[in-house]
This record gives sequence, structure tokens and C-alpha cells, in this order.
Amino acid sequence: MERAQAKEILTRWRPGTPLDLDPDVQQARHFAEGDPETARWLERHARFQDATSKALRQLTVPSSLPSEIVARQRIHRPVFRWNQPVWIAAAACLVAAFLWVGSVFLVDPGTDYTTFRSRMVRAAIREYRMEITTNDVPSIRSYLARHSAPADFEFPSGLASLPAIGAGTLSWQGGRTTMVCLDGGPDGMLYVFVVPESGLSAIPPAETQFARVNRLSTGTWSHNGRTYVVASSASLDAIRKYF
Amino acid sequence: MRSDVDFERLVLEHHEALYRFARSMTRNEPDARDLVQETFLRWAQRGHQLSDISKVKSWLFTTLYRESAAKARRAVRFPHDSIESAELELPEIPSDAPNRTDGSLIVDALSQLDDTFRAPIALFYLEDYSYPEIAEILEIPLGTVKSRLARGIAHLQRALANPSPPRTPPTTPTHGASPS
Repeated sequence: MERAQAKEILTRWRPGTPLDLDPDVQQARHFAEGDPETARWLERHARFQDATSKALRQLTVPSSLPSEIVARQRIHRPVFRWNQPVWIAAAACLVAAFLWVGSVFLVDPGTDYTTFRSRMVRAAIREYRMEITTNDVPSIRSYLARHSAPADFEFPSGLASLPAIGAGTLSWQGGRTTMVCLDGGPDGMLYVFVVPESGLSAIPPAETQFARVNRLSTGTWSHNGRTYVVASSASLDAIRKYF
Repeated sequence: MRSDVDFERLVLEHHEALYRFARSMTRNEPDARDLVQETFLRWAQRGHQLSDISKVKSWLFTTLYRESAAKARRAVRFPHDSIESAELELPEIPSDAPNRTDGSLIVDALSQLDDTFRAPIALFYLEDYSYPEIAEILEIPLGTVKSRLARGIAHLQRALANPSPPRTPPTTPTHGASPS
């Protein structure tokens, strides 16, 4: 092996990786051990490789990226495919019927604000779906009003200053609740749920209630006849700053 | 979407590696962000076609690379000097190189390289893959991986030693999280 050839092979080698096992690399390293000039070059080159690798691995990743990916995937998720096998739809109907019977005759799930909060957090984690995607709040209000969901929401100034992403509605005790998605920048997506106080057996105390619920940070409060829950994967401190 | 893989966990596990790979290939941050989002969207749509779930990371890298290549083909091309045929000339490595190397400098230097060099170099530095694994991810022959790495790294060293002024990146459509 010649020096130039050894250097070319070692140029594409990074010590401490599976590339150590490449036969050409092993041969070139053996050559370098017997050639002081190549050995000196290799020492500098190995430092370069290590520094370059470390520098690239330290590139900053936007903290909001995971929530953006999840939100985008959910926006694209089809609501229902009519070409799915009929038995899936039949099974779903059966399950729905059991749940309805259970909810009417067997179980009182409770309708206080903590139950509402848990239910909305589960929705945010698992099944939420934006029915309208826009940053235009009047369009969101108009959509919600058309779908009999609370549209006259009033957010605290910190939340109101965030750009909207979209909105949807969820069912609660036979009525519709509002879900508004806000872009929290580095805090990721913030979900705000709104329900009329009349839909709850107990509303939160006057002071906003902050709590971790099912992996999300939440804030719950009531204002002008509406109860609100904000949920986010950010920390509780991050949520507090919007109030 | 396949039910045996938790989508959110998959995102948390791999988004950083994919973002850095994307960032190494695209000069601007929004394009990198968009590439990663597109990649996971492809997974949601087609991930069920992957029979061996242990290869999910390679699948994601391959998908991102394909998306990047497709974007590059669609993008407006600016003239550039081809270095494909350049002779391998190893530049002198400055002794203080490790101390003044940071991620953004390297991304800038990578952007001066031909598209064909960027992906293998990024995988080479970001992940501990073998040559055959890089070849499989990029869907190119093993010999091509080796030659592109050797020549690409030599060009990278030269670009770092003689940084050129920023070049206007090709414009590609971007989709942020906020809808229009």
C-alpha cells in the first residue's frame, strides 16, 4: 500500500465506529503504524473527525418540533374511511352502544371540572382532531358557533397573544365543547378547552388551578360563565407565565 | 398507521437525529424542519409497509433522504461548480481545527459541497453506521459510498479552511406549523 492510498482510505474512517472493522481501513492503519508521516497526519485527521462529529451532533433542535410533527400528522389523519371492512364499523357501533348503556344506567362518571379536565387531556393526547385549521380567530369563532360549541371565549392576555392554529369540537354531557389550538413557540402546542359552567356540577375555585394531568401540564379556571382548561406538554412553569 | 408503534414515542426517539441529518443537507432551518415533518407524515401513511420494525430508524433516514432529493429536484437550480470530477487532494489540516469547529460552520461548509456528497458525509459524522448501512440507507453502491466519503471529506476540509461567503440557498416551499 502507498501513502496516498492509505490516506485516502483513512480520510473516510472515524475511530471507535463500526468502520474500524473495514478490511481496507485495518490495512491502512497498519501502514500508518509503520510510516511516521502518515501517523502524524492521521493523528490530526482523527482530531478533525472527532470535532466535526461532535459539532454536528450538537446542532440545536427546535424544542417545538415534536409537537409540530404530532399536530401535523393528526391534521392529516383521515376521520373515517368508508372502504374499511364493514365489521369494523359494526364493532364500533356495538362498543358505542355498550358505552351508552353504561353511561346511562350503570356509571355516573361525574361532571365536575376535574373530570372534565381529565377527559379533555385524554382527548388532547389521543384523539383530538382539528376541524378547522386557520390562524384567524373570527373564523374560528364563526365555525364554533355554527357547531353549537362555545364561541365567546375570552382568554387571559398571555394566551390571547399567541397565534391560533385551529380548532375543533368535542362532546361533553350531551353538548359540545370547544378546543382551540395555539402556537406556543418553544412551548409547543397549547390546547384550550372551553365548556359552559352549566355543563359542570362543580367549577374550579376562583384562582387558576395548575396541575399535571396524564403527562400534560394544565391550568383550569372559570370566567364569565365559561370554564377553561389549557393543556400542554410544556412544564407547569411555562403554563403559569400565560396567566 | 401501524398500531404496534407508538407514534409520539417514535417522534421523540428519532426527531433529533433526523433533524440534524436534514439540517446537514439543507442550509436553512425551516427546510430541515419541513423535511422531518414530511418524513414522519410518510411513516404515518406508509409505515405499515415496513415488515422489520427493527429497521425503523434506517427507514426514516432513507425516507428523509428521498424527500430531500425530491425537493432538490423540484427546487430552482442555481449554477454551481461541479466537484464530482475533482481530484482527491487532501488539504493540510490546521492544528487548531478542532478548537474552531462548530455545527453552523460545518453546515455552511457542507452547503458548498455537491448534493451527492452531503448525505453520506452527514450520516458518517452523525451516526455510527458502517459503510454497507450507509449504502443501504442512501440506496447507492458500497464503492460509491466509500469514494463519496473520501472525496467529500477532503472537500469539506478545504471548504472549512477557505470559507466562502454565504450562497443564496435554493428556495423551496416550506410549511410551518401555522396554516396560512
